[in-house]
Amino acid sequence: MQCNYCERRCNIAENKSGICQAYTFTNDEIQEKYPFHWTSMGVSHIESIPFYHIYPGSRSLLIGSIGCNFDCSYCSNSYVAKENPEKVFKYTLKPEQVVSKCRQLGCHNIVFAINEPVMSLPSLLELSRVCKHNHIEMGCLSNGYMTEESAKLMADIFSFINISLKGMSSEFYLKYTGAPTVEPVLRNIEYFYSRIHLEMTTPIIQTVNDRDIPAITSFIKKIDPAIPWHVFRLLPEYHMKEMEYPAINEINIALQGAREQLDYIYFSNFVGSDWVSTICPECGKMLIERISLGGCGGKVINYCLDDTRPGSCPDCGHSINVKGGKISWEAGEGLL
Amino acid sequence: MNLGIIDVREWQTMVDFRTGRKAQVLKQNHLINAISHLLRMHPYPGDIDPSSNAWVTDVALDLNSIYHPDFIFLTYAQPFFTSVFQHLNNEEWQAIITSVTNEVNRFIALSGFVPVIVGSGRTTPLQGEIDLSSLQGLANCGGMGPTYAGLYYPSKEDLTQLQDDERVEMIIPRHQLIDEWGGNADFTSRLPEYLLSAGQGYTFRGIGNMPRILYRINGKDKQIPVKAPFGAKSITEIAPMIKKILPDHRVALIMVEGIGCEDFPFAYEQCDNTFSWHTYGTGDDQYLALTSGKHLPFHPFPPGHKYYRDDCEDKPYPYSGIYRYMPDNVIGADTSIKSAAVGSRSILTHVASGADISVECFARALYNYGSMAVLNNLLD
Repeated sequence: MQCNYCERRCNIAENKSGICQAYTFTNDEIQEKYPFHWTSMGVSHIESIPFYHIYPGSRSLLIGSIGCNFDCSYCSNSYVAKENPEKVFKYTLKPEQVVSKCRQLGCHNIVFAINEPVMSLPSLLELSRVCKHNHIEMGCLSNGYMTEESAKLMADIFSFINISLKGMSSEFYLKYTGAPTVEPVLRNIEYFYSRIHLEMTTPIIQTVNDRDIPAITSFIKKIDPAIPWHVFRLLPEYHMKEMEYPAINEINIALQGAREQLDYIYFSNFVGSDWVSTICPECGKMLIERISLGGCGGKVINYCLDDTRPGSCPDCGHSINVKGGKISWEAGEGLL
Repeated sequence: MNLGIIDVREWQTMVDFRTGRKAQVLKQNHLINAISHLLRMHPYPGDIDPSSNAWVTDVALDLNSIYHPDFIFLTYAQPFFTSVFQHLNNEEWQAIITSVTNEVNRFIALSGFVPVIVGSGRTTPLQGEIDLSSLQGLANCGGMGPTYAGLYYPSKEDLTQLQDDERVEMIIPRHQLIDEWGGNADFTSRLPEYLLSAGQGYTFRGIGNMPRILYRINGKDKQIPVKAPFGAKSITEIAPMIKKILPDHRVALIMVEGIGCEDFPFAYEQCDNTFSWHTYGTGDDQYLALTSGKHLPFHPFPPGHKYYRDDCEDKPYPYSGIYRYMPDNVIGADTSIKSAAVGSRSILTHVASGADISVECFARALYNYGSMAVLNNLLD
């Protein structure tokens, strides 16, 4: 039977799995293989995931499951995403239990990261119902390679999403992710933009996809130049572990043209980055100061946005694409 | 100002180490240039890369030439990381021991320091993982294969379930810990409602675990090996002994992680690695006991604490993990001596050494981001 969760649309034989290893065909239907199984459960700053433009400063419960529909040569989380699911330790927690942990941890929101959320859509749908009942919002990282049906489901589940647009050519996708085409990703980015808060990420592999920077810039600009774009310096892992670390100054120069066209470009995934703070595109005031501690994102160390006039620069009044206002790290403490 | 120099391969930056902000170093000096060059010349190979042992020695020898410290603290963490996260046969494990032995010997031979070498204790094969996630309460168990966990908001059913679980060795309520151990205010205020201790070979799974597959975990060795020119019956006797001989000798305190008495490649004496019923495992507790000479209740963090609680936006020392201040009672913090540290154990190399200059890998959860130097109070 055909699995319609992602655009791979695998034909799965009885009791077998598709490419992602997360779904099986049994009892005449495609079923999630590991419902309510989570491989990760931790607390993190929302900026470290990264989300820079929604609920800045908030404490997130980070969860992940297992499996992926991509096989990125440079995958940072292959020890979960590409490992034999039977070997990886898994927590089994029903939605009510996850929400309870979220409350006990003083978290403001729940973010699904680590692997692709499409791997666990039925479980995440159930979780979102309980979260909504408890006024907890959910977000996720995604590769964007899901079917239109799944994208609709995800827009119902999640309030915010960060889609990794890894390149602009299908040749790149085929060679470095195993997915045959970029088209569904582009389609879904536009769709999510119309439904929920959207940020985007692109890991740059020098000499491979850095030439795509102008095309990605144009694509984002066409949708909305105020979409936050996180450009990552690739951290060589998995099959590309032996490659040279990309040159930061060269990538930064390549981003100069994009900065003239897009409002919020961040360049990180290396410690000490100078390019993780939010600057007013109109007057140049530093609005949210962050530092990069390693990993994908950053940490807020100073917040200057005027939350009495939601999402606006306190100096020039320019409208800033930041949703929800600042949430203190301690906001959820003592609410039990 | 405390200065951090961060090297992520082919790019460097300098930060005010206390605030985390980019540092405005107006006047470059010889020392900054030399350390910056040192980092550039020695990219960190990675936590489980065998050449990370040579990296420690190479960097330490170069740092010794630059700074000529009286005291140097070295941490060789590759044996621990590799044994925990990789399946190794005996031949592979012996090769790791040989590698780290050769590198320690090379440092001693070329530097002339009086060595004090400590094995952090063996790792032991993983027997099983105790899943605490399904408890109604909250179980914090950060770290790599944690054998202690902190329990908060437990229900009666939780406690009954844990008491019935043979893999759980001890369940100690907070008040009992305070009665038995006492401790400073930082420590006692962060104690969990219950501290859980896992039986030999078992690790806890709960909030804050790394999702990587584990092969071995801390062996909870009550005795660890120490090679020193003096006798030390307890891990907390090592720092005072070193302080005693420092006026007359240059001393290198060398921590070799993941190696216990049976594999320790140097002539050694056994040293007590416990406090009360608590056994130090490779990590924060043991490092601070070693370099401060103080037992666990006089450290800032108890096992099972809420590691995320204090991580607000104005937390000082953002590049030092959970630490909000640098311990001032460790060997290298003594301002009457020149001190240095080099290690493949990130964060703890600079926190536990208190050294004037520390150089360490910048690795988090085995991700290799580069390396970092910390210069303490040298530029005022």
